[in-house]
Amino acid sequence: MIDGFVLALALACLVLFAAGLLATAINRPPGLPHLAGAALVEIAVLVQVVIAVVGLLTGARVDGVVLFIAYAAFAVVVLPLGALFAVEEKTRWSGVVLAVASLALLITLWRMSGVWIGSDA
Amino acid sequence: MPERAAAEADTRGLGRVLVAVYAVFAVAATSRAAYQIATDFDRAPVAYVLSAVAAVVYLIAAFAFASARPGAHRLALVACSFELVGVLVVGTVSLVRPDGFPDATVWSAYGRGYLFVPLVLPVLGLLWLRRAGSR
Repeated sequence: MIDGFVLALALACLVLFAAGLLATAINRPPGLPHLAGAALVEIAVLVQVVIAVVGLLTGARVDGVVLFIAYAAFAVVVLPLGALFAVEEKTRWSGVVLAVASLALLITLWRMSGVWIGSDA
Repeated sequence: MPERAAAEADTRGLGRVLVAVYAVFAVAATSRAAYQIATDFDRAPVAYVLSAVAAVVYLIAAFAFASARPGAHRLALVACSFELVGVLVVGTVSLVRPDGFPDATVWSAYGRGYLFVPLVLPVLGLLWLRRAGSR
């Protein structure tokens, strides 16, 4: 886990979260820019997870490998699943659904960095 | 009557938010319970079994709120009621007798470790069920 990268990811999640709430507030389902942003965040999550897994394979330590893997797996699927569920039936509240997924991702990233120890500690 | 259709769409939309939150909690609670029971059961068997029960309730609630089948509404009602009683009872006991809960569960301290969502969620669920059932 790269500190600066995770921080940027976390901020991006916050922006997605706020965008989701905003979408509901203005009574519109998430639009293309919103979903494109979510896709970008998802790519970044995948990059971070790949880096972390490589790190684990080359000796980085975590406080519970199974736990970390579980978090990582969830982090990878939560945004796509949330986005699909949000737009499957476009309602005024679709934005909040996507916001819930964004918040879940944020919390998961926070937990992942919480158990990550690193290679040179 | 466009007003009524709009209100129904609104209710459905809110229902989907509930499904989303319950699904996230179902995954979180199930993973946590499975992990705790698999790795360290003797440490706090009562707490871990409670976590497992909570996980099952969340799973049931997630499906019940998502389902359009006839019995789903009542099932969601039962799940939310059980959940509310659970979080209130476990929350109280965990504060009054903390030594019985060496490890936090989802319902410890009224869900404090989960931003009190476990406390608020069943209330919102019950309110939604009342709204959805009164159409």
